Amino acid sequence: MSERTLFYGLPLACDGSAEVESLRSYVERLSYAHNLRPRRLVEVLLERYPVHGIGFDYATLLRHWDVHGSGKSGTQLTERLEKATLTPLGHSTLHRFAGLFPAAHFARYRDTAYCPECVAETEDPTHGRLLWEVQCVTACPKHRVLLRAAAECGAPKEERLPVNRRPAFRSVCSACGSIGFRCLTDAAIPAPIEAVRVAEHVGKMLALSDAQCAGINLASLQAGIGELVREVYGSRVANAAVDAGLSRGSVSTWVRGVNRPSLSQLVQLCLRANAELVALLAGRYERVGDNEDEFGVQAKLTDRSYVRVVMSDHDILATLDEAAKETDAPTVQTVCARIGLNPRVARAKFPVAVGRLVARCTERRVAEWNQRHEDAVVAYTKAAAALQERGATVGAKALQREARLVAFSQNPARVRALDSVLKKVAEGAERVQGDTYG
Amino acid sequence: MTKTNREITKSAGEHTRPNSWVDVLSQDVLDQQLGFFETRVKHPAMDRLLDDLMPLLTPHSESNIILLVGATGVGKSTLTRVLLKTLFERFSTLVQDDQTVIPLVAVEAYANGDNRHGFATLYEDMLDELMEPGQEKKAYVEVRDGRMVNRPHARRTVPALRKAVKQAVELRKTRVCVIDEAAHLMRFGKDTAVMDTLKSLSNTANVKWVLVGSFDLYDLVAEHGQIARRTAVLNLERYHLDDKEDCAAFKEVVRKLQAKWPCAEVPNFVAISDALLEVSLGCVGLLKSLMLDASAMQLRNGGKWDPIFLRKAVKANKLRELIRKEIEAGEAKVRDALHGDCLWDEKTLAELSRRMEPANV
Repeated sequence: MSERTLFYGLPLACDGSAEVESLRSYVERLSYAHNLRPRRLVEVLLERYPVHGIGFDYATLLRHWDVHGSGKSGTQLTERLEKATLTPLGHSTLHRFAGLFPAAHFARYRDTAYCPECVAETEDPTHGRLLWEVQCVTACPKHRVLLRAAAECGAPKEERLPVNRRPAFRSVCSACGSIGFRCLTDAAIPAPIEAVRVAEHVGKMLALSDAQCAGINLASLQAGIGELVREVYGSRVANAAVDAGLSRGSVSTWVRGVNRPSLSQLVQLCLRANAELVALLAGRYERVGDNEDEFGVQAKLTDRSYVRVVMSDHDILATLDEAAKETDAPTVQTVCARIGLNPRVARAKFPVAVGRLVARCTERRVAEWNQRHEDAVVAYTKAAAALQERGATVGAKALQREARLVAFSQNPARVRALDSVLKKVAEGAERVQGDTYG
Repeated sequence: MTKTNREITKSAGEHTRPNSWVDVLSQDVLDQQLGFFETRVKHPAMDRLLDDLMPLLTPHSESNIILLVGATGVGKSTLTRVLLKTLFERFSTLVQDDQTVIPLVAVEAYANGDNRHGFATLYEDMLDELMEPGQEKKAYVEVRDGRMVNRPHARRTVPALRKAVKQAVELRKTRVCVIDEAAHLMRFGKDTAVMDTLKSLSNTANVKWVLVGSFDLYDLVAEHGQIARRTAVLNLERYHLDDKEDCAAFKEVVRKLQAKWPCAEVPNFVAISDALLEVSLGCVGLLKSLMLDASAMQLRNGGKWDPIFLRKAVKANKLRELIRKEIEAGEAKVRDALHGDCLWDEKTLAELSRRMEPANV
């Protein structure tokens, strides 16, 4: 028999649609089919098709899964998987758009998200969408709900799985193994219309076929933006930028080819101008339709919001002071993110107000830390009493097991509480021993 | 009066027997004998069986489990080889067009005394045949009560291996799975458990399971109607001395084997084909074993033939009788259970055929 493929030739799920499967999901699905851990699958793959030279750290890759953006590791993995399965996987990453957008803020890194409605209704728990891996997408275009962070688990602690038994699939809670994240019973949150529009634009982009992508390049994108500015803003690039909530010079630099827009910025521009993103990529301006009324407020999609340009120093100061008066005082970073202000600027311009906020925030943190410590002391003391009642030895491990509270190094409050309780128990034992001999 | 074995050996030794066995083990001699050993003869009984079998292997046939039974030494191993070659040729286009598929899997059910691990070994062999990667470090995922949980320590259990085989045959689009020496399966567990396992595998993956083995295989289906519905039993028949056609066919087999005789001096076996049929109980495999032993003796004798070699090569009476009884008991067991043995006798079938003739002809 002629040489067979290393792995099963599983086709890429939903290829050619907005729900196209991500590379990570494909690897996980393939490893599930072969009864292998994803790490082992990648090891087997690289044994057969090694990567020569440096630059491919698969241990890091499997920890962070930064394969969907324009990075090299994604391309190397895709090439090898294509050889091993004879399945075209070019659409499973954003790499085909890598030349158009800068790598930063393109694909998600570490924090993964999912649509609670999609995972609840799917029959295949291993199917994860590439759309969920795009950083600027925060909603599901199909169900119009906000994506949810995959790190959240709603199961009680005793139902959480040990690390070596946790599954790794997009539609399964890795902490408790619940298929479709049924451990979380909260209703999905309806998404704002602008978040849905963003997801729709990006979804259309992901559904582009190779033939449609053939004519798309940086030059065509520049031409498209230029046409949009001409048609909608009468060639006034500053107006386009301000309208889209971007810095005044940004659109100008895109048109001239000095800079490339990030995907989120470009989508924001498209939303304000009612332009079709995929047409813009191909060098044309096409209106989506008259939906301006749907946007009551200016869309806030990018991290770099320039709302602050309209806020006076007095307003910023007032905002900082109000934040300091809140019961749960937020951090300086949180307040600055709310008003679109760089924290460094806030510290430089309003040192007193920022100092007040920092002091309040520290005060809150210390209170929280003390509360955690006290709670832990109570729990460990109860556990120690229970162990002593049973005549069992009161050691660090037994105490943690009995209290169901692990004192790990990153939680110093618990570690300190455990030490203090153990010390008390030891002192008590010595006293009893002394009394007996005395 | 017949000679004793000692006398036979003595008289054979009077010929030009070399001093040492090593003297005759030249590469040429070994090659000659290997050539004869590897000679496979297709014969009418085998052709008939393959003709019956091929339609059953079409994907949409309901007979998912096919038992190929036969007497010991009737040529089942040769049949398996021929079958695999035929199927391989049949699937060659499919294999060339799609490098991800493995349409044919052939394994042997070993009986190594460790019955507990019988199925596990069988499944592992199948996974090897299916080119399953990373077998030494599998991690199965259990799906239960709406949860998926990794089972890092469950990689060697039989259910986990069965699941892996099921997935592999589905995703590799396997069409036919041949298990040689399948009678050993019965030692792996209870008959029902064995058949249920095969049935569930064949149901889910739409695979045809061809089990090759002795008549004992029939015991697997004998008492389970549900399994019998999905099973076809085919017998590789031996040749009978009282049937002229059989005698002629057997003579042809002898002629073919004689044509491949490894020595320059070729005895006329064709002339005594009826006698050979009788001593080999009509089994082509036994005939070949007999001729192989005789050829070895002739080679050892420097290529000079002596009729005594034939006598020594024939099975001893007691052994032959033992084999004959076992064969007859087996044939009696599968009688009326074979593919084509149905309710209608020839007369009824003729009547039915007459009534079935199209009205406009």
